[in-house]
Amino acid sequence: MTVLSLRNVWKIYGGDVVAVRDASFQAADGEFVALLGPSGCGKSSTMRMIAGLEDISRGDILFGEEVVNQLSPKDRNVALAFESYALYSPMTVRENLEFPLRSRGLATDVITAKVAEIARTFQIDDLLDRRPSKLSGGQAQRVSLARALIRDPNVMLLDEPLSHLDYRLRTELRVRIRRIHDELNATTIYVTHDQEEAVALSDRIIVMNHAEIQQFGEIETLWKRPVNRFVAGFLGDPAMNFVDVRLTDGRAVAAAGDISYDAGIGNGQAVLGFRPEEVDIVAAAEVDGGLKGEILVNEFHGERCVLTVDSGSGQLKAVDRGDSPWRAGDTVALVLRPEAVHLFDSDTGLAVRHGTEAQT
Amino acid sequence: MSVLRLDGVSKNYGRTEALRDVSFECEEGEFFTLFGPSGAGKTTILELIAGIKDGYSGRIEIKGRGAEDLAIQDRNVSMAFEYYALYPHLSVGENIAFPLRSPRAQKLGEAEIARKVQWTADELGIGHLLDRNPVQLSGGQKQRVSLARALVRPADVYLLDEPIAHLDAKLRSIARANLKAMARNLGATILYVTHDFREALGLSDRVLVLNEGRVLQIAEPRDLYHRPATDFVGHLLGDPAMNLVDGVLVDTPDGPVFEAAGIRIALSDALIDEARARLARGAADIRLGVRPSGVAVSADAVEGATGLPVYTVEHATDHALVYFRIGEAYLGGTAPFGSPLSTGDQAWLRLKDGAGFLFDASFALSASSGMKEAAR
Amino acid sequence: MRKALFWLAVGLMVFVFVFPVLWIYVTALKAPDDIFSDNPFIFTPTLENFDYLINVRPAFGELLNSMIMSVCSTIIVMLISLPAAYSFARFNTGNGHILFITISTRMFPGVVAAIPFFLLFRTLGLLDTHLGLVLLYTYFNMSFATFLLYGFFREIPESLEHAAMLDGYDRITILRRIVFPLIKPGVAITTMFCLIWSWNEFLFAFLFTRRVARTVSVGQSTFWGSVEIQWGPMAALMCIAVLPTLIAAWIMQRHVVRGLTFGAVKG
Repeated sequence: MTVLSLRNVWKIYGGDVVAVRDASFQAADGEFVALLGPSGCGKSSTMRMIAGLEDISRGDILFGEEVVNQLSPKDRNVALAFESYALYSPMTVRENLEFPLRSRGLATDVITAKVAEIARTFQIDDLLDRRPSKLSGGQAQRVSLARALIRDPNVMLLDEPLSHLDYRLRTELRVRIRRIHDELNATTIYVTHDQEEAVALSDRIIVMNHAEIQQFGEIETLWKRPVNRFVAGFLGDPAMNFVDVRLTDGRAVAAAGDISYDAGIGNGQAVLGFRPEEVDIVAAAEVDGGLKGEILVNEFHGERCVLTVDSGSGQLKAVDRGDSPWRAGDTVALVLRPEAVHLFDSDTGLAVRHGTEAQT
Repeated sequence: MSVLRLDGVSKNYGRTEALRDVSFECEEGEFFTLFGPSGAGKTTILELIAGIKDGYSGRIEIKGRGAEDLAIQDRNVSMAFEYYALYPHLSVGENIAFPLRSPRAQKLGEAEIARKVQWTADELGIGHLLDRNPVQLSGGQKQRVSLARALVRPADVYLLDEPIAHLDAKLRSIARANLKAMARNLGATILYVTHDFREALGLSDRVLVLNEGRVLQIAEPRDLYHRPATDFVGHLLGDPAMNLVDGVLVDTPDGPVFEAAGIRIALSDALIDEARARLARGAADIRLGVRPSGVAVSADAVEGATGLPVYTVEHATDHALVYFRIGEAYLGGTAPFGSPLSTGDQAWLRLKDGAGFLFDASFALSASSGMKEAAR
Repeated sequence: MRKALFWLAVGLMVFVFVFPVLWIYVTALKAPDDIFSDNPFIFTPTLENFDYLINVRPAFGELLNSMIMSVCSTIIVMLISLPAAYSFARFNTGNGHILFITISTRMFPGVVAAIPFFLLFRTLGLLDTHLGLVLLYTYFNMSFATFLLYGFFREIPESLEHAAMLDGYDRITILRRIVFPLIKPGVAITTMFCLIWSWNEFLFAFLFTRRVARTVSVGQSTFWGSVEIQWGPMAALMCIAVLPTLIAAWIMQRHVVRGLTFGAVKG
């Protein structure tokens, strides 16, 4: 059981390509942390440095109090599950599971007991004598996870373990992964580009982009107080709407309409962000304020409907209830709630204000 | 008159049955979706209509004319292929213009062709790529080029095979709306193939659910979602997926309840009458289907609720999903955002009013998986 | 240091492969006395060997013959193999059996066919004629070319043609506008292989020609007399004879390197 810390860690390839820039964070003992970002953001490089698969260009990685920079992957006792299954194909599932234990010279009866235990956890008991080629994608992925976790690792590192799978199976394995984490209580770093997966699984999320950590926090913090446009836009589906506004005398004026909004920063240009879930949709004729536009499409998704509104400020998304009465062609106003809007600097994209509070 | 009609179409590949007795009609201007897991036979239907594949039984009519009498070139259908089929030696612009230069297309001047190509490309967000070579594009961009090439010319039916499946989630959400708007502007009759339930529900006028070559249900999206004909249809629609639990109906002094692995769950009012009728028929074996949104979970004991230990908890930005184990099956329910429940805690679940379905089991829930991998 | 070793290895490899060619070119420029001198690289260059090939024992006719044989046979081969390969690749004509029979002509040593062909050609009066050798080369190259082109056609996804058909194009136009541009590198490579093979072919040319249709490869062997071997003129003729092959190989290499990119279709 381990506290994992990164202190000013850099990864530089070939002298000038910076893959990870000055990353620092600490994952608490037994915490489930997601490393979230688009492809090429440096999340996998970060993970590989923690695993010991790549040298650290600068900075320190600590397991507990110990700097592990110079330790080989074997000595760090990390469990690693990859995106691809990477099972040893000539061996049966049982032999695959035994493999990491045999290399540590454990007694046969201990090995047998451990295999039985992990197989029960992952519900692969009935697959133990099969070969990897006879497994379905979901089964192979479970075996792969089981093999990674069988030796009570200090730290569990999961690199997009579910991205190859059908979403239905993904949802199911997600539940199991979280459950296994809760049982083993191992500090876990989960690398993913899927914001929904990160939100569903983790205690806290690190959002990365362009080799840098953008924000590290609990879901509620990221959701309600994103530090910049990138974090605000990356979480959520449909994504947050961004509208260029001019701030004047307690109002925010956009091309599509204006809202009463006291930014408290004087007048000027800014970007207003609001989540599709946090608007009221009313007929345009019924209100004065709000962002007005014509409904381009109303998509029924079951529990909810997603509206695409063509407005003077571009296409805006809004989420309505499953029995949404709106039809394409209707003119509506999206009425924003002042407590649920975010204000960003037009140039830097940094958050200025969330609802009625200033960004601190 | 229907633009497209299939009547009892069956198709075999050797001994493998690809389609069995498929019948449906598309009206003029309709957005009609073929929805199902991969391998269901969706693409085969498109290929038969396009004439790329033949050797079927039954009848296919395009605008009232039997397809078997029509050469591919005379069918006047347009198709976007899932794997793009872009001409690698032509620029993106030339690819999109290709259908407009066809000998059977209406003769257009170069300026008119350029205008149409630009408009279509702009609508799909690839207007800036016209001079590129297809090999320089990302998968998502290629897919939109392929879609643009299919939509650029007038056709009786547009056959779109998973046309936005390879876009990333954010782009897909934008492309979905644009595609729908474009289809409406063109007044096009669209036969759309997808395995993504959001596309099926969000875009379509009607949806045909296909599995293993057979039609399970044809309905409008809202009917499909609220009245799935089988457990399989219900299971395909929604994220998180519908819970499916095999069990029996048991008659108690308080009315019928559902029981599985020794755990009893009270039925919602909506299901009581059906449960009585089933019990009266002696059909006690049942598969309960209920979406996680239809299961309320609370940390405190509630009248009529079932108490169970929490298997695990997932979060979303506006609620928490709490999972339980019932025998081999999982049952997920929703709790308010910030719920303090976590693994191992005792919690209470109950079906919300109007929630849940009673199904006859139509496919096996795999024992080792809990859920069904057949439904890829 | 590693770089130096790398280039040393490369230099060595290049030397091994280029040495024979270099030797021929050097020999061609030597007077008979220099050819066997102790120091192979110190001599006074002379063009007398080339003069011999022009004035004393003209080799022009043999070069022309080789040219005619290889070009004519290659044209015929391509005219037959292209449609054949397309048909095998697209329509699976003959369920693979005909393709197999076609290829099987390459599975026995050429000599085996020599005797029946010799008898046949004698009856038909085709011995020592241009037509005779052109037919033979066509026979041997066709199977090879068909097989090669079959592979290239298979690389072109059928969906490209389907897409064009749905847009209303007929098959001929599709072949011209879609298939041919994509098969071009394959055609170039196949053509080069056929040309090089026919140009270099010796066995059948030696058996089936005497004087009229004698090719340059057979011509070279005439310097190997019973009394003496004329190394100088032989080397000079070789210099000329390898030129087309070298040029062909150079052109082909560009096509091979450029390769067939069908990335627009998948991935």
